[in-house]
Amino acid sequence: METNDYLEKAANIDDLDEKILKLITKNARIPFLEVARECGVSGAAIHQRVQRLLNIGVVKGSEFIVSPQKLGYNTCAYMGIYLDKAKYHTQVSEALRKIPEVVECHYTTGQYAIFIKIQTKTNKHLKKIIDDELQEIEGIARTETFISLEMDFKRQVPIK
Amino acid sequence: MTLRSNLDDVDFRILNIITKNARIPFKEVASEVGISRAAVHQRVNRMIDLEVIVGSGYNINPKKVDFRTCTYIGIFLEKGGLFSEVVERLKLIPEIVECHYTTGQYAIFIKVYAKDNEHLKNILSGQIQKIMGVASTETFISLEESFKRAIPVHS
Repeated sequence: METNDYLEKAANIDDLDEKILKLITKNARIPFLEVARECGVSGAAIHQRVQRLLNIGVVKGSEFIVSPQKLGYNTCAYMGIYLDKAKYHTQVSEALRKIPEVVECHYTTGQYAIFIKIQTKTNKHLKKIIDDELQEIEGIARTETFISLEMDFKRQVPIK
Repeated sequence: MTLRSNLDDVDFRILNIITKNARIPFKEVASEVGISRAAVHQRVNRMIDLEVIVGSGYNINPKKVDFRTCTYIGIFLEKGGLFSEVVERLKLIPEIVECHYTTGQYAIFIKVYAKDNEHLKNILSGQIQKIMGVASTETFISLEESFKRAIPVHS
């Protein structure tokens, strides 16, 4: 965890970087030569640029995106968590990290202390995780669940 | 309907590797899983055909491209029937990165990245709340993303 997180500055990126980002965020296995051709620079330049973007943390890595449904994960839910005491935040988020079905965890303003996204195979599986794992975590007072009936879209942040 | 049963152990092991690093040479995946490189190619292509794999991409760190505010917003609609029109309008706002139709008190639940709170305010009052059919919104700003990861492939 970065201690100086609040000081994190936006990185210096130019038009060419943005062009490259647009291409590689949509297809991680695109040959760099193809990126080079589209940007009008050499393949070596693309390699260098991507390496720099990785080094300065603009890109955090790459992934193949899987369809949760095809892997049997049919229930996607958001859950707001109320804590017994606000100071339990760190220990609760550490405990949540141990539950692999919890795919996202945020410390939020508003009525909930912690807000998570959870992906399970079925509604029954979700109930089991709430009962057996979430409610067992010390510090959690209660939870509020919003099941996503349909994900309309999901995409990355816009690059100028 | 799930196709999970059509995937075997080797598929899952391949997925475990390539969902963490999309540019890993398939030769490396092959030696880790203990099959040939051609077989990895074949299996990945099969999973693309089955739509188990829906794409690939480099992951951007929003903060580094100047998107510092991550927010969840619950949207109340004037009428439930306006749902699809509102979603179409939301899709036109690039700062909205995720959009769900949910149970519970909100009709629509979205995730928004903004440059700062002022930018967020402009998106909220200047764009989202101007959409016909949107009754009101409730905003949760994420002060910290404690973690974010892919679904467990194995379990």
